[in-house]
Amino acid sequence: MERWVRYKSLVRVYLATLFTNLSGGLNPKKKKSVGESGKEVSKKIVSGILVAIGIVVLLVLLVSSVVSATVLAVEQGFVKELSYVLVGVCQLTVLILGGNVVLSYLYFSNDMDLLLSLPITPGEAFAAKFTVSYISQLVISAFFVPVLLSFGITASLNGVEISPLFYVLAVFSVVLLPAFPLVLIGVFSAPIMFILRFFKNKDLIKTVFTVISSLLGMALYLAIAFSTNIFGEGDGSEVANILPIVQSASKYMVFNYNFCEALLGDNALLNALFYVLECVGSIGFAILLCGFFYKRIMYNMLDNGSGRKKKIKGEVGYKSVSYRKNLFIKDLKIIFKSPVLLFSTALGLIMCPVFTVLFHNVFDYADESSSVYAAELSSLGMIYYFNTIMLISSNMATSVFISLEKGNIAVLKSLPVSGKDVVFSKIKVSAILLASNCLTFLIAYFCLTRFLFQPLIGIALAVIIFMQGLGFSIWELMRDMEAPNFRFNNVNELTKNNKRMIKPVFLSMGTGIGGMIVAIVLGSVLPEKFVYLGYVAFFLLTATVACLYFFIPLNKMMKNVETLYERLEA
Amino acid sequence: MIEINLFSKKYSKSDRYAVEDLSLTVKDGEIFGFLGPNGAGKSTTIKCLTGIMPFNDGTITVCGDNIRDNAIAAKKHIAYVADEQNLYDFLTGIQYINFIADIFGVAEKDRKERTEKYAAIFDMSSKLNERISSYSHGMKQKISIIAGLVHDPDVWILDEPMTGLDPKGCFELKKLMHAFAEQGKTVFFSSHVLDVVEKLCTRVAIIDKGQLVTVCNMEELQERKNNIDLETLFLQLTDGLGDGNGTLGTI
Repeated sequence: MERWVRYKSLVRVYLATLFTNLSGGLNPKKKKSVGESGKEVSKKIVSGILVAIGIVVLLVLLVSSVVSATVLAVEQGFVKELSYVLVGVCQLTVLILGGNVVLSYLYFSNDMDLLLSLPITPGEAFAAKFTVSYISQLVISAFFVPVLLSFGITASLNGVEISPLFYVLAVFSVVLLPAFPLVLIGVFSAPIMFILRFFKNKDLIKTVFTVISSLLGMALYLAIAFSTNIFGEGDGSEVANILPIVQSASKYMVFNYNFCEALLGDNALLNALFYVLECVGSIGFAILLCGFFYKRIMYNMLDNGSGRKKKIKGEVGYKSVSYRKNLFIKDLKIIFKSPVLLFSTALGLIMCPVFTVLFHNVFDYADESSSVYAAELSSLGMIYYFNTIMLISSNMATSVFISLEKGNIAVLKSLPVSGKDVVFSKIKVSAILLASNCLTFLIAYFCLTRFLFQPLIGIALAVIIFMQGLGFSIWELMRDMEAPNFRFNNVNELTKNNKRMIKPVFLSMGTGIGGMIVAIVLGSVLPEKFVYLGYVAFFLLTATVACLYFFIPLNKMMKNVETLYERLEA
Repeated sequence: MIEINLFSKKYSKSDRYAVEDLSLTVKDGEIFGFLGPNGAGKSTTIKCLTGIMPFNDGTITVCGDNIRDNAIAAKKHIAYVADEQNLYDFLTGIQYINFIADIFGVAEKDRKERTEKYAAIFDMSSKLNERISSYSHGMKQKISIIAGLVHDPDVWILDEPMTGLDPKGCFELKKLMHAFAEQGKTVFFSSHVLDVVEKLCTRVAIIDKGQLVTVCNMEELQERKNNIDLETLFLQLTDGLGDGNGTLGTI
């Protein structure tokens, strides 16, 4: 009884924190905090409305995809297999999106000291945290309720017999489907945490792990996409190619057998009951197993050092370097010590060449009506579009570079260093990161050379998107200087709700789409002997845009940097 | 030397002045205590004095350089030790000291000599190669002090420097402050530990609700007031005794 009381108290506190964090930004009726103007409140309302619209759009897209897939499945006779896929996709989404969140709740929260000092067992602490992290993931599984419902309704309208229990289970899937992925995370988290304790820089390891898993996910997607010929000419061959993959889903997801049988098979009630027991049993198993190791893991997390003896260099170095170089190194370290920023930077390094290869090959065609030069121009437009967006979105750090200084801004401002030096050091870091992304794009593009002057085209495009990207960086940095946020607790908090990225991303999308349309149109309409004019026009246009994006913010920054720097107050 | 003349500061989201019409001069060779209740405007004054925050009116000069018009030159004279130690956690102690030394252009030989000297005084010699993120609050304070002194400043400004320091650290800091002033340099610091201020300072200013209440010479205070202690004086002047008479009294 006492255990239950302690468990309930913990869950109540964690749930209150969870809902406070969620509702704080969404509740327009919340009393205005001191200093919050009516304009800021209405901004929150507008943001809430936009979020709601975004959710509705996403749901509409999901539901329409499921409806099409269900009709196809009914025609081809793989309805049950499709149910496995839908359930599996939901669970995979919970696994990928919820993995980091659950691990943070379980092992990286700030209350470890407090928990260890209280008269609660590790099992109770783990159970409470696991419960709340489970509840936090219901938001993801809730998205799949309309998906499952639309699957059932569509199948029913197309002649498949659907029992009333299907619709009840579809609603209860919110609670049932996250069970297995979260149990998986919980059970595997213990050995992961055990391994991590041997590494000094745990954050870096987490980032490497996230990058590798994202790459694997992307590779899996591309492998499926290419093997099923999704990007092909729609000759129907993709259906025949998808079927074996869908059929194998039912073999791999054997743990969902009872749920999918309950949805569409016989003995629906019995199968549903079995599935509920399986979920409860697996959760209980996870809590018992992990609770046993939880205290040890908590002690390890609180211990700053690694499992091995610390090796501290005996010799203390007094090397002098120029202060500008020192500022630059310091700013570079700020990026590299933050897993979130490092991840977005690494993503750019990887995705720029991936997009380049993908859209060069996928849209590579040279039929009788067009030459390789025209085809290349069209591909160039696509590559320009995706790399423009990728360069902006992967450069998240610049939009918060001043905010990242937090209390250190007072230290910097007390030093005999001009605002220009401080800010331009950050611009240099941004330039290096952008240049690295452009370099990986260029290397990939060089490998796709089909005619003599193509490398020069690649270099010209790399310079253009670099200038554009750097211009955006300067603009974002200035916006951060005008309204910095020095009150964050960790970098995740700073970057998670970074609405400042919205404008630059949309602007880069618009720019990219414009360039892409110009390139594709020119590549399609110009006769072969004048296609070189298309290249000239494309590069003139994109170079002009790039110069505007670069020089206008740079000029504004040069004029205002000292004033903006002086106004910064931590 | 520090000269503050009719300095006023109002925060943008406030309708009242945080500090208003503050004027005082701190001469070379002085240890100057800056006292006031919580929220009086001490940290605001210090942050404006060190160029961290801009201010609305008045002038502040440090060794003849105006902190507004000639900020870089003025800051070169200053070593600042903050009340909250916001240091770059990912750097080691020595990396942070080298960073500050590079900013001030301190030669390798000088920085090595001074770092070793001050690190030995504060028992930080064996900690210099460890990351600042592993330091306790007191250790961060010590690194901040060492980094401040590595460029041999003319003016040493400290905001509540005793907070978090162990007894030996406090003792050594007070010794350093004395030695600093004896070299003809200026020490300007704020503190809530009035016993220390009473023993250490040559002059003291008391600020309350953004206004300068009094500036007094500690020696004269002892002679004139029949040994009234600084604590009683402070409480009288800032209405800390709750009698509603926050007056200058008869100093």
